[in-house]
Amino acid sequence: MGKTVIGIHSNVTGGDLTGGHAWISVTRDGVTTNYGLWPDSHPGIEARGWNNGNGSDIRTGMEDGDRPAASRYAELTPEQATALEASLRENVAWGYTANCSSWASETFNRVTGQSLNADEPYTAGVLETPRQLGQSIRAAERTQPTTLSTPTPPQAPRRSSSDSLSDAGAPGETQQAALSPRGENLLNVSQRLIDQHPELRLLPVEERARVAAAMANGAHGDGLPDVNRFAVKNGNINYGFVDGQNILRADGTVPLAIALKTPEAVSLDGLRTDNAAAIQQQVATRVAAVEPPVAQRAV
Amino acid sequence: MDQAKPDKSGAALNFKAMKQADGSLLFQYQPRLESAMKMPGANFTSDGKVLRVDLPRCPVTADCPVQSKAQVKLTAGKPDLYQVVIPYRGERVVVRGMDSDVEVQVTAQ
Repeated sequence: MGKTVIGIHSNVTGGDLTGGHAWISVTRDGVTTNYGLWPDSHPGIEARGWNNGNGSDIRTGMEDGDRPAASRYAELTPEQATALEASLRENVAWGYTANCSSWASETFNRVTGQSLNADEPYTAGVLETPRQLGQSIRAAERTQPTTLSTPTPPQAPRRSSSDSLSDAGAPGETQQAALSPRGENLLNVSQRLIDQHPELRLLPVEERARVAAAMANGAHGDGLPDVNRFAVKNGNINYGFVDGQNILRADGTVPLAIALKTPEAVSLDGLRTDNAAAIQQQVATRVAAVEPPVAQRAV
Repeated sequence: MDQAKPDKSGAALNFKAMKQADGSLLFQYQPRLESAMKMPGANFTSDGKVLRVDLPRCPVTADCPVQSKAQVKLTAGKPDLYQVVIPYRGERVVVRGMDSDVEVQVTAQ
C-alpha cells in the first residue's frame, strides 16, 4: 500500500445551523476521491440515480465540483489506511443528528487520533454542523497548517478520544441552574406559541415541550431579546423579534425535525448558558476534555 | 454567466435567465452544496412588469412544494446546475433574497 492522505473539509465556517456541507477526501498514491454522507431524498442524489433505500448513504464524488472553505490533511499509517477503508465500506445512514459533519469528523478523528470538534455549542453535542467543523478546522490550521502535499505526519491514534467527547457532552452532567429572566421569558413565549399553533398544538405534550425548548434555545442563541414573530413553514420553525419601530432586530430558524429530536434537558442546558463568555467557557471546557494535556494522553 | 450576489443564507448563486424559443424563461441557479437542505425549484409571481422568482430552501426531508420543479444538470467536476422553466412575458426578472432582491438580466438562449 502506498501513501494515503485523508482530508477533512467544510464549505462553510459560519451561516445558519443546517447550512453547508462537510466531507472527507482520501488521496491514494496521488489520486483523490471525495466521500460524503448524503440522504436519498436530496435532489442531487436523485438526479444521479443514487437513491439506494437501506444502502449506505456514504457517497463518492458528490463534492468534486465544490470548493472547501476549510481543509485539513493527515497522512495515515498503513494500519490507519486499512481502518479507513473499512469505515468507508460501513453501512451508514444520514440523519439530522447523524449528518455529514458528524460522520466526517468522527471518521477523521477515529482514524487519525486528532480531535476536530463539530459540536454546536448550543446543542450540548446533540447536533454537529459544517459551520462548527469549519471553525475547528481553521483553528487547527492556525496552530499547525497542512496541505495535501504537507499533511500532518502519520501517527498512531490515541485511545478514547470519542469517549471523552461523549462524556464531555453528557447533558446529565451539566450543573443545573435556574433560567435567567430572559431565558424564562423565551421559554414561556415559545411554549405559548407552540401550544397555540393549529398543527403543533396537536402534538403530545412532551413533544410540544421539546419543540418549545428547542425554539427558545435557538432564539437565545440567535440573540433575540424576545419573540414576537413566529411561523412554521417548509419544516422550519421561524422566529423573530420586531421592535417598536417595526424593525426586525433578530430572527432565526430551527428545523422542526431537529427540535422534535432534541431532548428538552439539552435545550434547557443551552438556554441556561446566558452570555457569550459563558458559552465560550462551555466550549473551552468541552474542547479541553477532548484534548487532555499531553502527559495525560493514553498512547 | 450572470454573477449575482447570493441571498442572506448564501445558499444559491450564479443566476442566469434565458428566454427560450417558445417564449418561456429558462432560469438557472447553483445551490450551495449542502446535504441537510434543498432548493427543489421555483415559485413565481408577475404583475406584468416584474417577474419575481422565489427559490425556497427547505430541510431535505421536508415537503417543499414549488410551482416549477428544478431539473438538475450534472457535469463531472463542476457544481450541479438547477434549471426551472417559468412562463414569461418579457418582464424584468427579480430573484427574491432574504435581505434584498437581485435583478437578473434576461438573455436569448
